[in-house]
Amino acid sequence: MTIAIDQGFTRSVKAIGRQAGLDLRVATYPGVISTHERATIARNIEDILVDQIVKQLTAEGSPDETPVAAGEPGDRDIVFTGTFEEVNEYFLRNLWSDGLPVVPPTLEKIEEFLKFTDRSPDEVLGIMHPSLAAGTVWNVAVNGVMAGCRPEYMPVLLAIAEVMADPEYGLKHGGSTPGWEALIIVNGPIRAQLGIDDGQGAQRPGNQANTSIGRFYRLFARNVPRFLPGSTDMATFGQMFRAVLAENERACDEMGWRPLHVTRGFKPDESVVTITSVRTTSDPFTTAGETAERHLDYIVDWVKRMIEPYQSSRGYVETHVLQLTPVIASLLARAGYSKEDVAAYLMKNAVVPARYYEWSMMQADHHTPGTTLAGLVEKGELPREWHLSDDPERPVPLLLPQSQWLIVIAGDPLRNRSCIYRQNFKQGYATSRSVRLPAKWEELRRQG
Amino acid sequence: MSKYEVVFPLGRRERQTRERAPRPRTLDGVTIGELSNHKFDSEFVFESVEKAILKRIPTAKFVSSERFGNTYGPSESEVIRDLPENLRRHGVDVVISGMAG
Repeated sequence: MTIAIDQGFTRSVKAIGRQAGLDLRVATYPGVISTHERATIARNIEDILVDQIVKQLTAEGSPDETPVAAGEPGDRDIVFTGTFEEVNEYFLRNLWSDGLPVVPPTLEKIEEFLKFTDRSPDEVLGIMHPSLAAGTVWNVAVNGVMAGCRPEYMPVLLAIAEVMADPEYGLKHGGSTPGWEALIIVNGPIRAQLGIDDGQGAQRPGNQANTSIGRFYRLFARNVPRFLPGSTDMATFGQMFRAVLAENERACDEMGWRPLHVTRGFKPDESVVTITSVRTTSDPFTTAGETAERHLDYIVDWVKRMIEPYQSSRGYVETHVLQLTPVIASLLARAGYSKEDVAAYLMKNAVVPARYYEWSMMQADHHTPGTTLAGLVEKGELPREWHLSDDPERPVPLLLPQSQWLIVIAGDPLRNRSCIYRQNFKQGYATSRSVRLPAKWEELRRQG
Repeated sequence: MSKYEVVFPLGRRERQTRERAPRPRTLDGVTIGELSNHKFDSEFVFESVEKAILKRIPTAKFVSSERFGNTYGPSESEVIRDLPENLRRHGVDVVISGMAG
C-alpha cells in the first residue's frame, strides 16, 4: 500500500499499477505535504489518512486485476488505414503522438529501417519501466519512422533504446517531478556518417539527424515505457525533447584532448551514444581573459549556481555535463589542462560556506528538521570533509567525490561561451552504449 | 489521396500471472513494514501513522523503515534487491510505502 501525495500522485500510482496489471492500493494524503507544518500533517494523518490506510491494507482484491496483454495487436497487424491527416488524428486520439505530425509507420517504412540492423525485429532490448513493455528492435523502428528519422539512423536509435532499457540509466524515474529530459551525446565515426552536427547552433532544430534522433527518444519514451503527462509522467513543468549533441572530435584531436567516449573506456574508432538526464541547463555564459584559471573560476561560479547542497547531503552521486566551445577548451589545453584536470578543478573549487550549505539543504523537506552537517558526517552519510570544524564559514564541497563531470567540446568554435547541464542522481545516470553496425553498413550507406 | 496502413506503436506487455498474497481482514496482530524514500519528512509521517493506527488497533506491530534502508537513496538497487528477503526475515505481513510525491 502506498501513501501518495494528493490526487495527482494517486493517479500516477494507479496508472503505473494498471500498466503492470495490478490494482495498487493507495491512501491519499490531502494537499501538498511540503507546504504543511507538522501540526497540520499530524492532523491530516489522524483525520483523513489513517482510515484510508487501514481500509486499503485490508480490502479484498478487486476483480480488475486482469492480464494486460489481452487484446493488444501483433507487431504486423494493421491497426488503422487512412490519409496522412487521418492517421495523425488517430494517433493523437490514442495518445501515441507527441503532438507534432508523425510519419505514418507503415510496414514498408519499417522494413527500410530494419535493413540497417542485423538484429531480429523480435529481439527484446529490455523490459521498460513503468509500462513493463518489451522494448524491441521492431518498436524502435516504428518510433524511428514516426519521429522522422532516416532509416540509416537505426543503429543509433537501437543504442539509445539499449541505454533506456539499462536499469543503471534509471529510466523508471523518468516521470519524476523535475521533468528532466535526456541529453544524447554521440561520438565516433557515426557522427560524420549520419551528418550529426557538432558546430555552431548544433542543437537548434534544423539539422535532421540532431533533431529527429532527439525526437525519437521522447516518442519512444512515450510509447514504449509509456510516460504520459497526467498519469505516469509527473513532470511539474516538462521540457521539449532535446536535439542530440555530437562532440567536435577534430577539435579534441587538435588540442590533444580525449573525446568523451574514450574517457569512458571506448576505443577512439568506436561509435558511441552516451545519455544523461538534464534537469536544467545553465546560461550559455561567457568567460574571458588569457589565463585558464580566470575561465575556470567563472565556470566554478556557475557550478555553484547550478548545484544545490541537498543533492550531496542526500548522497546523490551525479554525472553533470560541461560543454565547452573549441576556443575555450583549447585555451585550457594550452595551459596544460586535460579534461580530467578540468573536472578535478571543478570538484575541488566548487565549495560553499558550511553555513549556506546547511541552510540551503533544509529549505525543502529533504531532511528531518534539526539535521546538521555534523550529524550527517557522524552517521556516515557524508564524508568527513563536510565537517572538519565547527566554523560556520568553513568551505564545504558541493559535490560528492564520486560525482563525474562529462566534458564535451561542441558549439561555435570561435565563441567564448560554456554551458552546464545539471543531471538528476539515479534518474538518467550517464550511461553509454556502443553503436552496432550491420555487416553491410558501407554497402547500405552507398545505396542510401 | 494516399492511404496509409499503419501498425501499433506501443510496446507489448508480457502477460502478468503472478498471484497476489491474500489480504488480512483486519490489522489485529498484523506486522506492518514501513518503506521510506526519506522524502517529505517521512520519519515524522510514519511516527504519526503508527500512533494513529495503534489508537485504532492496539495489537498492530511495526517494522521501521530503518530496517530496510532508503528506497530512493545511494543504495536503492541493493535495498530493492534485498527487500523480499528482509520482509520475510522481519515477519512482515503488509507494507506501507511512502511517499509518492
